[in-house]
Amino acid sequence: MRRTSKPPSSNTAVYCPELGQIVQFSYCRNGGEGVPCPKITMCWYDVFLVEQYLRENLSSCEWDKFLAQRAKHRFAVVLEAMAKY
Amino acid sequence: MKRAMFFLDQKDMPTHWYNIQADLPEPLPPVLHPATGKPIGPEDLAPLFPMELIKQEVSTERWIEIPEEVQDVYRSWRPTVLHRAYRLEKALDTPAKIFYKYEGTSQAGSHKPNTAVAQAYYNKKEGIKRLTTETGAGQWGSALAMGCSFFGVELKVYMVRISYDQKPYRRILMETWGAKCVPSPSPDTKAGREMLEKWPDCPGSLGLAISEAVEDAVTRDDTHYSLGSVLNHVLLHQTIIGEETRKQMEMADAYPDIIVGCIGGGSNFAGQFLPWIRDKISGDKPDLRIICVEPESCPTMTRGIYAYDFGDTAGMTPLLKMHTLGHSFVPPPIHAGGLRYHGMAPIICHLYNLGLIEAVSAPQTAVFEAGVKFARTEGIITGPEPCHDIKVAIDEALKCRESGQSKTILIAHSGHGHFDLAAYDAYLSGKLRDYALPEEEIRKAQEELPKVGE
Repeated sequence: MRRTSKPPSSNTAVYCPELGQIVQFSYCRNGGEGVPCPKITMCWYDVFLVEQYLRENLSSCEWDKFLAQRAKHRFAVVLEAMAKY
Repeated sequence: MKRAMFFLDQKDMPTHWYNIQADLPEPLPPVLHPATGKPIGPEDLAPLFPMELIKQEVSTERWIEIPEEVQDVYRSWRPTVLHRAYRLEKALDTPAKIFYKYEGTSQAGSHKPNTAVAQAYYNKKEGIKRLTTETGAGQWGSALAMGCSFFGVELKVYMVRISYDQKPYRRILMETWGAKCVPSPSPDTKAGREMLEKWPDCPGSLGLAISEAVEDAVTRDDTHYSLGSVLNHVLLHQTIIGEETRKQMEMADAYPDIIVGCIGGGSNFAGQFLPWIRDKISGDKPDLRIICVEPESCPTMTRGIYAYDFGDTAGMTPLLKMHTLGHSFVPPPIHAGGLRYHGMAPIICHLYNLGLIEAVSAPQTAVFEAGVKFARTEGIITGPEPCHDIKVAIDEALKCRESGQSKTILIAHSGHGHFDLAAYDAYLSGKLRDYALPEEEIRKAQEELPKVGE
């Protein structure tokens, strides 16, 4: 079946490797902080054309923000947080 | 009688952790600060970690004594058993001898308490009354909760709210062990309050939970932060696994030809293979093969390059030298929780770069197929991460069947999958699929790596 950029229905879920549990697309779309999760394209790749969906539906500012918060190493996040306080 | 389990007496439990940094042919490249490009020093880490752990992070001493108090706690579940997988061997009709060192018998169900207990101890010893950490579904949080309970250290766990609400079992474990577990974002920190103000129903993220846990620690004098993977001292504490296994393999009159383990933060596998790799470095066992297994869909080591990469794409965080697919890499699907890092433990990357370990990748459906085969032969429901080890061990055993060789294969089994049954359900109901990255996609991402003078 050909994939499209239409998001799945709300009852479709995937296993989130970050959290270790099943989540719906709405969680990944908002990423817990209002920006799509860095791993959204990984987890939803098989379900629909998620990268295309994001390119079509995010503003350029949102897209940049999405790219900018991607793929953080855990220790890097720790030190980044420490530097703030 | 065929002996299938090798028990090490508690009086023979190792008394020292092994520090690979003493035997590295080349020293580990330092973590660089992105602002200065200079190595991060002890003073940078002091607000978060006790000095003894910071010393261990950079130590080149070969053996580091396990404090008696930590040994006492270890003895509540250690030594863990080394198994001979006769039933799996029979099912595969292989002449290979398959052993697995199983860490799932700790009270928390994984290898994580090996460092959780040590970290709680060192913090307590340096007068720290309270620790913070973050957790998703709760594997690390529950291990640390147990460790803290043994030493009377207060623990606050920032658990991502969606997990807190939807997956309560590990939260209940944490609370039973005495930890305070709050949903993140919480009103208890500036980072949490800012998010709640902006978005009251925010379901949280691991990154935000880390920020809250770190903020909590650095703004209180009596509190430190604890991390359960990646760092050198975490891998060090896990070496008790391999040191025990060396003695148990001797009991079995065997020496591994191949050691396999999954890599993510890398702490369990490193804990197993680091004590063996010194035989290879010294030249005593030049043919020993140490195989890191990673998902085919995210092949950081098998097809990545070794370079300094930004911890995040904004370039605001420290640089760590590790195998990477580049900071614009958009990874495809993978369902193994521990194998999700953009980068992994720097020690593992360094050893790979030195040619001392090898890496292979495995597609996720084959990984779960191997996990199911293991469950139906050895009885253990394996966590998604160690299912990777089993997949490659099976592949190697099948090669032995073809060649007629009787190689000895050792699996670093990090724990059970009793809290990961949804992933098994997804596999059994046919919801998992495989995808291998085209070379062109990887090459393009690698071209975008930042340039760092070496």
